[in-house]
Amino acid sequence: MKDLKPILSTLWRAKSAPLLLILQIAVTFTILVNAVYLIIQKEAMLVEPSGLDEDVVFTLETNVQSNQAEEMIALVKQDLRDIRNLSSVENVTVMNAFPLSNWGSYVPTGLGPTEEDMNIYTGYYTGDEHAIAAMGLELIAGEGPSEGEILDSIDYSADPTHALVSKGFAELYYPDDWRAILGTTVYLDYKPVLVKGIVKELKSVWPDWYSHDNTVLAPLRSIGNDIKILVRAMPGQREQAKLDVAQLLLKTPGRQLDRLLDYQQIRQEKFKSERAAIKTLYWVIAGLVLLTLLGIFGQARFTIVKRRKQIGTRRALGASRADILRYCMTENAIVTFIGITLGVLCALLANVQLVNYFDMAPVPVMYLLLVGGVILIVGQLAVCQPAWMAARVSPALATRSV
Amino acid sequence: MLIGYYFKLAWISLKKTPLLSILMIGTIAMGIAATMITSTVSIMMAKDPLPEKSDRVFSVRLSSWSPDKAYQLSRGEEMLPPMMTYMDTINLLEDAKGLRQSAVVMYKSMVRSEEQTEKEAKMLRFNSVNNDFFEIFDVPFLFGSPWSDSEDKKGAALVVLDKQTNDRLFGGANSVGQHIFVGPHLVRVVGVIDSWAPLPQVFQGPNRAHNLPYPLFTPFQFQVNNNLLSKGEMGWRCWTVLDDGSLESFLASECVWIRYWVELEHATQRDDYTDYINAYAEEQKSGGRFAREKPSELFDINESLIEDHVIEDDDRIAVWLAFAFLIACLLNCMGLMLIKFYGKGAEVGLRRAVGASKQHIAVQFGCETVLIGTLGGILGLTLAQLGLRLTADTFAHLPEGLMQMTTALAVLTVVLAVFSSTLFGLWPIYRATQIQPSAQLKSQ
Repeated sequence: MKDLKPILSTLWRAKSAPLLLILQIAVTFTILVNAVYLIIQKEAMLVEPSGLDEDVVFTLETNVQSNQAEEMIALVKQDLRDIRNLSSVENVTVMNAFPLSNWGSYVPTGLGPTEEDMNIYTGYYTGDEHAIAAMGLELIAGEGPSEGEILDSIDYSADPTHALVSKGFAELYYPDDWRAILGTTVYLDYKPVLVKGIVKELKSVWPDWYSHDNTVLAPLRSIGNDIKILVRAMPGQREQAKLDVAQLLLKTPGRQLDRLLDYQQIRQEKFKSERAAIKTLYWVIAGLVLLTLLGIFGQARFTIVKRRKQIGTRRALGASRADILRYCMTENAIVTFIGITLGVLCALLANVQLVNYFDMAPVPVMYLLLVGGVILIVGQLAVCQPAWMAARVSPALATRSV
Repeated sequence: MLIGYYFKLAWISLKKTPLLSILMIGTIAMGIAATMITSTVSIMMAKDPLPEKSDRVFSVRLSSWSPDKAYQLSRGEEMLPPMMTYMDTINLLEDAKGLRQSAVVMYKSMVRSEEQTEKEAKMLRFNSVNNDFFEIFDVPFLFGSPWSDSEDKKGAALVVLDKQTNDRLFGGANSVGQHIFVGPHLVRVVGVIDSWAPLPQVFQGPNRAHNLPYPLFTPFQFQVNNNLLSKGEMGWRCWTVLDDGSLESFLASECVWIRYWVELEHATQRDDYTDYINAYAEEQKSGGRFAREKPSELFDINESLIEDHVIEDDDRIAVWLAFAFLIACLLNCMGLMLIKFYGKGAEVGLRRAVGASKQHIAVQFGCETVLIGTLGGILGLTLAQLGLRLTADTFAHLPEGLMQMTTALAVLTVVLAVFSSTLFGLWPIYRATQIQPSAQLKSQ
């Protein structure tokens, strides 16, 4: 560290170039931290579990060929029975919407019936007695609905009297002991509902929604002109089951099938914008790292050209090549470090703005350290070649005039 | 011309240190390209879809919602439902107080040509609209025209196809007068629309704002007459209990499911129309409906884009990121320029010694920064075009042709490059002019 003092005094004497580099590194650091953080948040969203056994589950929509309530119910029940009897199918349920599918319902919920109590919106699912098993949900408290408790809901006409809730929902109202919600009455859309069970994880249909973790599952068979069916295939037989179900349903004349999708497809469709944004952010990061490399490389190289004579003199006075190399690397490390320190301040300030204006979460300190480390390494890489060039300056140069 | 001479000097100077020059031009180009790409994307995503008349086309909101509870609260403020009831839609359509007005709903149905069998039918999505819709939203027709007023009122079995569907069903021929099956209904084609990708697509809410419009359009009353409601697909909400699942009770209910658009002759008539819907709400109030405090509101196109959250934060964050990136690039370039001009200390000293004023030195280096900026801008423009191609691939789910830079943006790019490189060159130039002739001469 004996180089430290001369480096600092050199930097102090010719301030402007290193100062600009420091500023550039600070700005780069600010952008990098926020870009990396955005990417990580978005990528976490892409792979966030829906609570379903996505590998074996697929969904479809089909029409109900009647307008009479009684007949509609009978037809739907028959369809479900037929699908369940297929050898490639393990289970099936009829729902109002599917997690991540981007189309669904929500209801205001609360512990009381007044408008002041209804303080949060919650994702609303309906499903029959097979819903938990078909989706592969984990029931962690209470019990699921039995066959006799399922109401038929034509165009959402029926209201549930009891329901299952997600653990996220239970924690919302009973943060200290989520099990306490079991057996209590909550209000869904201003109507009382008894909580009979808690499932570990069931996400809403909108991953970017503030209330994504909070859902209720009402014991209703949702029936309309269209029904939405969720099928659980036998392990490893999803593709076969898709074919079998389509073939079975299309036997009925006038049958319409739509959106026969498995969860890879649903995720693909739901997250296409996010994927595009992530890709763009990667480009930004690549550009920034390249820019930092170029900037440091350019500066270091031309400072060395400028200092050739000085370096030659030092060499003539007995400094080894390693000394010169170390000097250049240390100088770069110091400048980069000051830049990063300034960058930490800027990044925190910028992040406060982002948090205020765009509802982003604040950046954890870990990211600051990580990105700082990366910039430090990039800086050292960029300075390698110029430093090597400097080390090779011949001592004889000092004796000659430039 | 002296300026010409200076540019020649600048060119020679750039060629003398090729690596440094490439670095300077390259950084400016990168910064400019990044800024332009993100700005283009952001501008395209949030642009005014109907610039000529966006201030006189309005989304009408009427709240016949429950007296006991708000439709929705947003940051403590009550929001009106973005859709309205069938009753109100029909009343407003009959009054026809605007220059043009249209309901907009969606539904889906199996579609096939007369020759195709039922098995070949495809599930397609429709917009159910009034005939004015096409004129309100400037829909270009390739063949035919919208249906007539009387056909609109009757809900005649007519359809307008988009180009793609017409290509698929009729091989691109003029299909006006031909028939297709919509579910079990035989429907006559009255028009084919030309390529049309309004962005953002504002007329049916935020969910599909950055997608292509639905491929088919039928009269609103046709959908109602034939009970073609796809409730599992469209947005609808109720606060009253329906008597049964029938269409009649749904139509008579307070359920909201129809978006309603009106075009006025002049933006100045906005107040008149507001008075009209307020009066309508008052009149309904005497009939026992419209019990909420704020029963009606108008949003013009740009306002409804904000109200419906079509414009997303992500795009704005990206633009800020890109501008910060540009600043990083310019700082980098500034550092390089500083080195560059400093390295020419001897030359400056000599010129100063033989009588050049500080201004002369400043103009000379000014010319060099302008040259660097121009070259950087042109290279940046090329990079931006390349980048937009890549971006178009990345955003492949958006309509084609969205990611295109306008001439204005291209010119702006180069100007921005020249301006910013000159601005960031000021400090290095100032430093260069401060070089003392004597000091430099001494070291020679």
